Amino acid sequence: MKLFIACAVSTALLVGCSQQAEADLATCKSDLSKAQSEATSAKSASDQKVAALETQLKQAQDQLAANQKATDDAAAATADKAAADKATADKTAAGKAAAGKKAAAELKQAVEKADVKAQTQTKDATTQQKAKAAGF
Amino acid sequence: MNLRSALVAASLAAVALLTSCGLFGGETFTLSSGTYKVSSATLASANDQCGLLGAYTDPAKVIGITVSGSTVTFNLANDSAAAANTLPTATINENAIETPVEANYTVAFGSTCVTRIHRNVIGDITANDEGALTLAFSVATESGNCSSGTSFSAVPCSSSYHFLVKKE
Repeated sequence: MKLFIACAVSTALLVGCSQQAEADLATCKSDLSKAQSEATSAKSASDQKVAALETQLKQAQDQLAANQKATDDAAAATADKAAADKATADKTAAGKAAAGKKAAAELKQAVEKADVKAQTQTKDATTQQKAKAAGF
Repeated sequence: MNLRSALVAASLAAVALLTSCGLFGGETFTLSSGTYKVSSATLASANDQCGLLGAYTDPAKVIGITVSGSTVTFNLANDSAAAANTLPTATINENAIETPVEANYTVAFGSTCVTRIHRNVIGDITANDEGALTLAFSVATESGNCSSGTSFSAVPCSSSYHFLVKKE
């Protein structure tokens, strides 16, 4: 009888334990599923953030490249303008030098051919002296 | 008869008097070549841009005059070495010195400036070997920089002087 009671109690305990274990397992599965869902959501959010950061990075890289190109273009334009300005200046200087040389040659010829050759008149020269020098 | 003679004599005397006063066509004077003293120089233009009037008001100023036929040549600096094209000429017509032929010549001042001068002389012969003349001239830059160092107050410029001349 005692043995029977013991078996019955044991059986009841085992049945109870089994039911508790199943309940615990179900809870565990539910928790695991929830955790998996949360992990999936977190991963998705991270992926989106990474994608957004990658997009921003690409935009920044594109902007940097555009800025670099603009800088290079500006430098090239500046160099071109400097070269053009120098060419113009060289041409102008050459023109002025040629004009000056021509004027000097014309002056020299005019001096040589002058009907009257006088000294450069100083401020100290009298009116009579100045008049005489010019044929007056 | 006496009255007629008196009238004739009076008429002859009157004609002689008028002729001597130059009222019957006047006397024609002459200029001869030589050196003439300048006096009474005054400005004949509005102002003396060229600044040489002082040379003509100088009591020592003389000019050379050469007469050949009816042509009179003025050597204003009385420089015997002056080139012919620097000397203005004119034509003597009774007591008038007219139809001027301007002198057109260049003067170099040092090696940096060449001016071109145009000048002419006209006037009247007021007595034998005496005259009243007007000199007109202009100066311009021919070549170089003539802003200083020339004989003139400024370049370009123009001036005109009136003066009397009398042979020394």
